[in-house]
Amino acid sequence: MSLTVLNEVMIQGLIYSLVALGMYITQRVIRVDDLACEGAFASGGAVFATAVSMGFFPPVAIPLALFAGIGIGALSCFLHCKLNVPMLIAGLAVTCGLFSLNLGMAGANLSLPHGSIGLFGLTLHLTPALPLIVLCGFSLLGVHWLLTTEIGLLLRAAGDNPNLLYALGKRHEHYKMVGLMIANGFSALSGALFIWYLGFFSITGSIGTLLVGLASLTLASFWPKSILFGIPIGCILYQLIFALTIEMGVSPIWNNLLKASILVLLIYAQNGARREVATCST
Amino acid sequence: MKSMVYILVVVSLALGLVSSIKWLTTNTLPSVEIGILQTASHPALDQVRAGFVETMQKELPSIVFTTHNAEGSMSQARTAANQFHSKPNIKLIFTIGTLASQAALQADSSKPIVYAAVSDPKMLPTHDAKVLGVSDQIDMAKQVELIKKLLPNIRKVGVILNPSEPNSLTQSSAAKHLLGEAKIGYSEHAVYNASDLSMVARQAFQNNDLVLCPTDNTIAANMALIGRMALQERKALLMSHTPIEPGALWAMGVDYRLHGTDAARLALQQISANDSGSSPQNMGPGTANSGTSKPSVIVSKSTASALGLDISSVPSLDARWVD
Repeated sequence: MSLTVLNEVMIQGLIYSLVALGMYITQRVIRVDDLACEGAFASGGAVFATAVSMGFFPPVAIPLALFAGIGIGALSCFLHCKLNVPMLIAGLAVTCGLFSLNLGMAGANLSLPHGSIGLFGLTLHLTPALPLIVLCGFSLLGVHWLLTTEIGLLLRAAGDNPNLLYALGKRHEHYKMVGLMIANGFSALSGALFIWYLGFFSITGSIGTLLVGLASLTLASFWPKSILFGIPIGCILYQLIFALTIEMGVSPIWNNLLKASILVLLIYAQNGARREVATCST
Repeated sequence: MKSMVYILVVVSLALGLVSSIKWLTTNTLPSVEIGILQTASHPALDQVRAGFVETMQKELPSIVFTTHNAEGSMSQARTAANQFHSKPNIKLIFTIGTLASQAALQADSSKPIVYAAVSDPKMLPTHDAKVLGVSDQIDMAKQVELIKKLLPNIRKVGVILNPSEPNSLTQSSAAKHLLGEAKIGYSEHAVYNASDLSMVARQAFQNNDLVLCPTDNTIAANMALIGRMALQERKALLMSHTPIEPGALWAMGVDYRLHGTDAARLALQQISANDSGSSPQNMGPGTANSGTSKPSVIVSKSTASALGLDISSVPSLDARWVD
């Protein structure tokens, strides 16, 4: 496997690690199954591609995508908490509806203007990885710091022990909303970076983001110290597995079966690890 | 500790699986290797690949292909394109479909690229590398001309398309413009996936005098259903790709196998230019060469008689008749 491909794997892994970071917040902190992150990823890309082709400077378009993601998180929480739609269905409905919005906004396929191609304006091979590492590092540290603050404590309580929030006189919906907004914001940011990196937007391109994020997060949870810091490693490992299958020339017919099997195996292995911890502690 | 064992088992199983498949398919080092990147599994795109592979093998028997199919995923297309670019023995990259072509053009490249089945080559990014390709854009003006000439009583035309396919959108907006000029009503009927199709198609047939299908992957994959419905509703159905499906009145468009053959000719041209040391010709995107697979009209006799139409007497109709 050549250096170019490894670099490719690292960059894609780092970009997807922001999705996995968002899923960490929804799955492990506030403990809801948020399917809207796939829609947020696509919309982040669509907003970014539209803004750039309208003449926005790409670094300005990135925050626009981020805000779109935050809005999407707020919307799915509104559906869940105010309209009492079950969380899974709220996520599905949001993703489904966003497909039309993205199509209306960016069209089926949109190439970025020639001048704005290349992540962070860098087209040389290794260079986009460096600002990306900095960005992912700051995001991870930011989430890590947030979870140690009072808000972070209440966020964790919203997932682990909602009764604590009631006891403190806080509404746990508010904290769910904060969690979903952060998570979808990260997804949209990741989608925008991905489009910037690829140089074009395609409406079907974001299908399967959910699975990538989930499997990467599960891989990350094997990291001994903290899941949070295992996320980039997990994402890069996951991308590496796929680059290997392409390298080996495995027929892409089996790709989705492979993805599904890896996810199941990982979760099985993770449960095995938990069982072991449980037996050790007793 | 045990978790590490689990992870090792998982990774080594995956590696073992891929390497055993690799071992089974290993070949000796070839003289010319071509990387084929296909956008998705689809009958028309598979036909392009088959036509390309067939022609290349006829001309260069020792040729070897590495095929990858992105199955619609941008991320996979990008990784595969980079893989092709980084392998020294791959001399040329052949891309089928818009998404694959965009991914290959966006990845850093010094290798020549030949593309096929791109409806609107203007959509491809501008590029300095040696890019050459064939477009499957159909001649909508000719299609509208034929409608006016052969079916002068048509007042309303419905177009069935999947709005998430860029090629369909390009063609439907051309159709809208041309039909507007010809004072014929136009309506769009959107199908997002095959499960919507039968309801949408029924509605399209009932509300229009004629249904036109652009070169749309979702529609093409379900053409048999639309053809049957056209016969039930006794309405004219026009297709934009050949061979003609039972139930369609005429098909005017690209034969995808020939389309692949055309692309193969361009690829051979690039390879021989590379070998002789002269710099291959760079046509750049937007200047696709449509080659010999230019739109041909195929009319179905049985559908015409089922609709009670007598169009065989129309003079100057340059068409091939089938039963």
